[in-house]
Amino acid sequence: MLWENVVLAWGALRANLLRTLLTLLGMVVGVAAVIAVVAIGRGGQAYIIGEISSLGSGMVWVEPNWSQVEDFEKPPSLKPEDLKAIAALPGVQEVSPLFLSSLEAASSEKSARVQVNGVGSGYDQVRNLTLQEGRFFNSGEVERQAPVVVLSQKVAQDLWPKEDPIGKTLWLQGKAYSVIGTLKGGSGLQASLGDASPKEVYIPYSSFQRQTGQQDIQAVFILPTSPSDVSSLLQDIQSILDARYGKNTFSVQSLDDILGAIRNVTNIMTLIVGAIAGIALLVGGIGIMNIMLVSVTERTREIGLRKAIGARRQDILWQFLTESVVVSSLGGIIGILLGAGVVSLVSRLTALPSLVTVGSVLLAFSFSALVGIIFGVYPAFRAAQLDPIEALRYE
Amino acid sequence: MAMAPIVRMEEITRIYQMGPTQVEALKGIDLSIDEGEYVAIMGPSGSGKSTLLSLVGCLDRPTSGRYFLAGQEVSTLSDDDLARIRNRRLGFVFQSFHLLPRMSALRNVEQPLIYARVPPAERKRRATEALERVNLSHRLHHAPNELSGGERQRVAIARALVNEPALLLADEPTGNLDTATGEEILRLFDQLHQRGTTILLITHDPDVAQKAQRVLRIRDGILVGSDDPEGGS
Ligand SMILES: Nc1ncnc2c1ncn2[C@@H]1O[C@H](COP(=O)(O)OP(=O)(O)O)[C@@H](O)[C@H]1O
Ligand SMILES: [Mg+2]
Repeated sequence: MLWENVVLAWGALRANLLRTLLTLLGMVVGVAAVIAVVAIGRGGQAYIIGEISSLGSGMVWVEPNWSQVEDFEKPPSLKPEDLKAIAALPGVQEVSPLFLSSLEAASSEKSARVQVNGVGSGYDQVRNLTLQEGRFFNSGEVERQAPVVVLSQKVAQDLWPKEDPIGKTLWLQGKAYSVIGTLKGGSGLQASLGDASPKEVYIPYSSFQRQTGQQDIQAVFILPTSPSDVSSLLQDIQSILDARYGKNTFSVQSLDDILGAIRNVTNIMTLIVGAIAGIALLVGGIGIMNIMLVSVTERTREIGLRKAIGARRQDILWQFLTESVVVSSLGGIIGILLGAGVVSLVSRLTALPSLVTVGSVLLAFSFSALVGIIFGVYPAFRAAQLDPIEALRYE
Repeated sequence: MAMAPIVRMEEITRIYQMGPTQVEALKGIDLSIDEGEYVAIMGPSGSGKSTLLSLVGCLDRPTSGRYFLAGQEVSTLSDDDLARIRNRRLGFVFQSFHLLPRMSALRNVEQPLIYARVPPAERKRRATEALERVNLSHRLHHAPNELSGGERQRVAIARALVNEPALLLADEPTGNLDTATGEEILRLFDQLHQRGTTILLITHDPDVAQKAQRVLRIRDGILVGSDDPEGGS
């Protein structure tokens, strides 16, 4: 019987295809919006969160509170004692300052301008850097200001295109550093940058200080022992620095704060779009109710005839309810296809991954079917209530 | 059992309430139709013919009186039971055919069997047989708008016959047809009657009525002029 009703519904739908499709526009747009926005929003969120997490999960860092800095030429700086005090806090695994400078680097054959990172021995862990070959420098090398260097994949490829750089000498502005390790290439955003991906090298910060004469520590990275709960660590660091330099001279932040903020923004966006889609579905539902009432009126004689040949009220009710659900589900399917099309277009044009999940497709489909039920009940009820004698006489 | 009439109506009335006024469409009908009979009810417009047919066809309930269809009292049954009786025991033929457009002749004839929950294969077989009985085996897959008026009415008759009804009800079945085609349909009724179908036909046209085995006349809601076994006037 259900199948019979679906066949009947399909026939009725095909007979008024254009009219039906026009009525479905609201539904289609609503469903497509849900699919597209959820997918793009989710994809974007997953992408951004992935990118940020790859910078170092659970990472905490200290930098001058730039909004309170008066002279940008002379921002406040930290001293080695501050690093020791932070390192002594419970829950701290590694502390590393970060010095940055752009210098000329050369192998025996090639040269390039690179970003030099003067960091501590735990920095690879703090920033989630993975080694391709060799090793990162240790604390002994940091203490002795050892001339050792770790290369990003890009620098290794650019300066030693044919050879293994390990053990070779890298000249940084004329000073010799021995290559002890190379890093794996970045993924995601960094990989997609291709040629533009950062040319970075890492040397002990003590060596950096000696070569550049730069002493002021402006940024410190901290790796907590457990990345899950960093809020008390943030407070501890903040109160040490507040006591030494005045309230909020330095700001202490964690990746979790930023991830949380991003999640909030994308969730709110998803919610807003969901609400808009809900309104579109509501409008679509009213359109379906309207078209079903028209259909019932147009087919009054059919209803009369069906009753005469033995259809019960519930048979008529189900026939029209099925029709309304078939119509709205068709709108849902078209909307899902349209939405998925938009998503795949967007993900082809941008680097964003497309995330049309089975869940969101099922959700959109069941929602559209539900709209068909809700808005089909009244027209179907009207059809079922028709008096067969009058319905047969209807012109 | 063989003697029990298909239709037995006793003192049937039907009063329509029109706001404050009452219209007495039927004023005490006694009617009995035996198995295998071919009965015509003739009367002028507004005399109550269609009202009577609706009652016999279980599309409506009498205001008072008793109605037995094949021995079963039906005036007190529920709507669903009446639908079931229409489906299993009655076949309707209307003046304006009432075929479903967009559906082949075969699908149209299958419709009553869908409500009888007959499985698809058997449905198809029985619908094909019914169309053969009305000489339309060459039109199974034609839609109504591809058929002539006479062919459409024959599809409607096949639909009425497909569930092997105890009683075939026809309301002005030739009303929308030209004389020659009307004759053809009446000949088909005659054939069906010969083969044992019980028929109740309603018309205002004496030429049509006289084809029946027995003609009853109705005027102002009352059956007058009684049996006329030879047909004609
Ligand atoms: N639904 C109705 N409501 C009120 N009056 C009706 C209704 N149906 C029929 N009538 C009246 O009942 C009488 C008989 O009608 P009907 O059975 O249709 O006659 P016929 O079919 O012989 O032309 C007429 O006076 C008609 O106006
Ligand atoms: Mg009439």
